[in-house]
Amino acid sequence: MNTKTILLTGGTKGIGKAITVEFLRLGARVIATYASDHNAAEQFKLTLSSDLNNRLWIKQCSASDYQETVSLCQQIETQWGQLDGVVNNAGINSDSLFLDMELDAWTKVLTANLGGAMMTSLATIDLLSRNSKPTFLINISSVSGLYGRAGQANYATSKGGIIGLTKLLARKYAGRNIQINCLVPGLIGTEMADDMPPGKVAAIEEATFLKRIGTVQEVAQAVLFLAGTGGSYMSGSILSLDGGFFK
Amino acid sequence: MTTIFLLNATTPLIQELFPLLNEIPNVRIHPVILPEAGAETVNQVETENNVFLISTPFFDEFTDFNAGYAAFLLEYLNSLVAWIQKMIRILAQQGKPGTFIFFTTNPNARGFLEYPISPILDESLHALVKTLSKELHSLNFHFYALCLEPLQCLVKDPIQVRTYRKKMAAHAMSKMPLKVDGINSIIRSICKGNLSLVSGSVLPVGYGSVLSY
Repeated sequence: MNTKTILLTGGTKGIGKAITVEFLRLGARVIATYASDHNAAEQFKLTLSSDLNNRLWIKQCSASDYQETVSLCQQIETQWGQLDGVVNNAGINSDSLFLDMELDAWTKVLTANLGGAMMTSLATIDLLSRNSKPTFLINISSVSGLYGRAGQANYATSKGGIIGLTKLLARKYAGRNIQINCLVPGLIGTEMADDMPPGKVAAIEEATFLKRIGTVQEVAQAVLFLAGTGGSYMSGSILSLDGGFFK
Repeated sequence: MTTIFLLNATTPLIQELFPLLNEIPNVRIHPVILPEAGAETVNQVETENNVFLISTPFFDEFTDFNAGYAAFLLEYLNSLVAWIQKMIRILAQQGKPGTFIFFTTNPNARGFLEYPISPILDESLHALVKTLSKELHSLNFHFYALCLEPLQCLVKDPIQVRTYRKKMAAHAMSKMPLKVDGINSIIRSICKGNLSLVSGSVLPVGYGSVLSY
């Protein structure tokens, strides 16, 4: 990853933060975006050594805003000349039963998750294509998108769409030397899991072969696998990382 | 008595299906067009059995995927879900069951057949179907997604039909594009409640095509 330039949406919190750190440790230059949580972004910077901080550019940019992301890509190209990889990680949830779900909660989650992945992919694909070396685009979905999950109609629909987006992009841009794949994590120990009632987390752990939820570091390692030579013969793959979650 | 609600009744698939569905005994058809008609077209449901056939305009994301389409897709999903939620609320208040059938394409099909596909929309709807069936099964709501591979009714040009037939020969048992009468028989089975045990399923309908999953 040395000298590579990587764009990571939602890169300052949770899973995104862990992925950012792993790329930085391997010598990459990372542009980590966030939509609104400025404090979390500032706090994240403080936890990093100056060596890592020197290669990290934290930028406020809404993933679902096409023009904003296009403009970010222009800045990346001007400053570093190329983009080597994109990780579409930004995501939010707002769970409730379907009959109680406010349309606003539906729209917000769909726009942030699916809209963010679609717009970022569209905005970055040309820059990735222009790179003379192999590049990668990794989408982060969820087991909810693969199997559905009660109480998460908005989240599951958006994450399902991201799986479809991966299949489409892999076909559409085949031959452009971009490894386009999708990672499907189960429940991971992030703020999202912290917000869940304890009983629910325990139930998911019980329904998982490995009897535990995943860690952000495990997700980051899987992303590194897909971004590196491990993913060189993978295209449009949907890779589950769920500890054997019992569907 | 069953009411079949046809969402997006102007799509070619629904227009071809219409006369066949009309022949089902004790069935009345209620066409609804989204998103123009919005959620206001149906305010109450009178029949005991209600089936919603949800057809989408025939997108080809392979050629049409851009920022405009992405924005349109989000808008389309928003209006579709608002309508579905409203219908389920009406039915739930009246204690009536409901069946929702989504027509989708096979998100894995493109490549061999150069058949228009819309995997983003399809996979979104598949996840919605799986989620809602888990969540609303106890209230007697059932959800299905049919993955349709090349439909003869959508390929009216005889040259195109011949081309698809040739391409299908290598991949499908029937060696020809799917016809609407096959879809009609599946819908009839679902309407009768014969498939309620497989609610939440994504059913590939492609005459045994190896492209199905």
